[in-house]
Amino acid sequence: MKSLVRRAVSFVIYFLLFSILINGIFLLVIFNTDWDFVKRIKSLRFDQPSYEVLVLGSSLCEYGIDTELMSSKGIPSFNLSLVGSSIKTNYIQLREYLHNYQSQPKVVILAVNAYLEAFHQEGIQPVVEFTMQGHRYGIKDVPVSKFGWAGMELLKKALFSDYRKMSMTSGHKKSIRIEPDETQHQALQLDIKKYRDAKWIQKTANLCHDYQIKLILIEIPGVQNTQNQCEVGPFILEFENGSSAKLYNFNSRSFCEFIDPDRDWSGLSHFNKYGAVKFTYRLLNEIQLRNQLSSMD
Amino acid sequence: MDILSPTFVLVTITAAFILNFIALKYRVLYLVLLSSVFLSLIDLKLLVYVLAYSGINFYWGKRIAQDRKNATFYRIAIAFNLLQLVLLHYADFIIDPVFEWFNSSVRVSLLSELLVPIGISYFTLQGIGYIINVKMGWEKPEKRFDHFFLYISFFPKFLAGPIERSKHFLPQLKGKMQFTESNFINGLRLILYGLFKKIAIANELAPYVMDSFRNVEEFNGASLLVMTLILPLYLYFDFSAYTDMAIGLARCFNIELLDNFKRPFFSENMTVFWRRFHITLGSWFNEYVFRQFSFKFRKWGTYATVYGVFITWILFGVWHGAGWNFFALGVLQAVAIYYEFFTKKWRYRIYSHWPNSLRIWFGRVVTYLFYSVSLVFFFAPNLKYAFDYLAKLLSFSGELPLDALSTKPIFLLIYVPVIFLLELLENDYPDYNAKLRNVWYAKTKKSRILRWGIYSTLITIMFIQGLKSEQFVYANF
Repeated sequence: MKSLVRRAVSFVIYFLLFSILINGIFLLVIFNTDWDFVKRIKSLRFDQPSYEVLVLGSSLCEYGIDTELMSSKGIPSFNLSLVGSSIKTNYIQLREYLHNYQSQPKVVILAVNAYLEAFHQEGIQPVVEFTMQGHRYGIKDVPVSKFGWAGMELLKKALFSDYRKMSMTSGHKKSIRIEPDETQHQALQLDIKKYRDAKWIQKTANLCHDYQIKLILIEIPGVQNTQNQCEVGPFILEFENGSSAKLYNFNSRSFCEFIDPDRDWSGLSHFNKYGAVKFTYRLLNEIQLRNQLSSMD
Repeated sequence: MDILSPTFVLVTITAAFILNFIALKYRVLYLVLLSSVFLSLIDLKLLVYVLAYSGINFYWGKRIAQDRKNATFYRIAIAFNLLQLVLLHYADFIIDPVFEWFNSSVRVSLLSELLVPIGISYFTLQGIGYIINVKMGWEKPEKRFDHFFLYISFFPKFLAGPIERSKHFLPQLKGKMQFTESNFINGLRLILYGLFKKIAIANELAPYVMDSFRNVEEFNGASLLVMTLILPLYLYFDFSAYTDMAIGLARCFNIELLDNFKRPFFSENMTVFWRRFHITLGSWFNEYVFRQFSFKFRKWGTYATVYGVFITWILFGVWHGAGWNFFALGVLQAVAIYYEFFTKKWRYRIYSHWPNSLRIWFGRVVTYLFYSVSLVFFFAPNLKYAFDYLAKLLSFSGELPLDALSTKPIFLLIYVPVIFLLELLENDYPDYNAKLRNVWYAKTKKSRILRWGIYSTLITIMFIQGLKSEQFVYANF
């Protein structure tokens, strides 16, 4: 019996050391190779950033809005979006940014998709949660479990050249992968009430209001069966505390006519780099962002 | 009762550890107590029912032994066992339709909602097996009720077997149930393998299988072909996982349960397959139905075997559930056994010209394919669905869903081949397998580090996959 107890204790110690080693190596690897980790660390260590526009959203936005192109058009901007981000995560990221840096953006673009995303999610994107101040670490933070998807991304990079050739500039993820959109249009309407009632959009609007930042909400395009029949807008949304935001419905079927369904997608409503360039041009043209920034000077 | 939860596994292992500090004469009582707690956590009514069921069979066993020549008590006991099974498990299939036919609103199946007869298919076979053993004089009646109750209700095997034999289980309780370190560690190892197979493999395959039996219209023929080939894998990894855990847990309590699987996918025909898959069920039907029938009607000659096979496999199919699809499952197995029986010489003439390995692998592939197709009847909610499924499958329409299968359960493409490679070694290359086992179990530091490294990896993988609770398929019966 004593021998069994001794062996059990030895195994527990072995397992703990094994876990620390495995998790340490895994964390080190994804810390340096995973796009979202790299971006997140970079965004926490900006050296006096001078971005006039911050772009927030989920992976649809991370792939879809080419902030490098915007910067080249004289609009210094950075795309903070991360894979799987909830609007609550976007709010936390913005609050952190405003707290950490003296130089404030003039415009915040929050790009979401009412058809594909739930707005009420209380979960925080794991990379943000793991690296945010005040987070209490627990058993759920064991890296191999928390960032299991990052391990899968790593495996995809190792196996498929499409993933290896992906790049990131100014926070915009550029994919060269092409996956045709074979879905069909449906008779969908834009759910504006969903925007009005979204707690974390309201909080983001209030935060922007406090810092005198203009909040622009974008219904980001998805593949054909997610597109709606409503007009582009803009729609003015009024929130509590006198805050407001303009909502542009870029997932409108008429607006999305520029998208080539055979060339512009990289899969699951994510633009590839060709689609992202086309979309960003049209976004800038529709919003007249340069003019808006000039009027704020 | 979530037997996959870390809490259940840890509490049970601790309870097994405590067993060894309990005086020998109280050990059975301790196991009875644990099993009773387990049943009452599922449902208190279930505990009461199993107690009553055990009590009645315990009594019949004694009465039958008093006068073996008198078949009355024996017949009453068998009738009681079958009746309670029909009332609680097959009422909506056998009894309710009769009442409906007479425009009566009586629904006997409500009884099963009241009593929650979980595990009834398993413990009823154990009860009947005991009664037959006593009647035939193969076994003396059990004298102690606590021992008999434990035979029926022993919690590691209660939900999904293995289906124990009283003459294998009960004598162990008379022994010392002596603790040995190697037994305990072997038990833990089996529990770990079982958990891994369930969490890392079966749970990952489950969504594909369940989806294809939810709405066949959503799938093209090619997708169904892939799903059908996955069915045996899913069932095997799910069910053998439970069996590993049951045997492992029992071993921690110093009790040996019967084996239920013996590398079934390396069988060259269905006859052999059923000696290697769900062994305790197949051997139960062989021992208590087929042999009894063939013996009783031995004067019929070959016909006794033919009818015996048919009846055995029909009962075998229907044991899995109340429905015509399970009936069809049994018929299919019977047809396969007939085919193998009556074409033996003919097949031998053809295949004897083939190289040995080609003949073996051809047999294995055909056996696997046949079992895959017959499992459509196992998983389908009814017979019509099964035929719709097969009709669509045979249309071979659409493209193979290789994209989804190559990216989503990508790790299964590692785990499953590794497990089958190990089984192949054990089955076809015993020398290499012995060498591997020598390295694996060597009492050297290197071997221990290797073993512990693998165990730690398995635990880590399970942690990553999440200890999700998915019901075991065979816990439905």
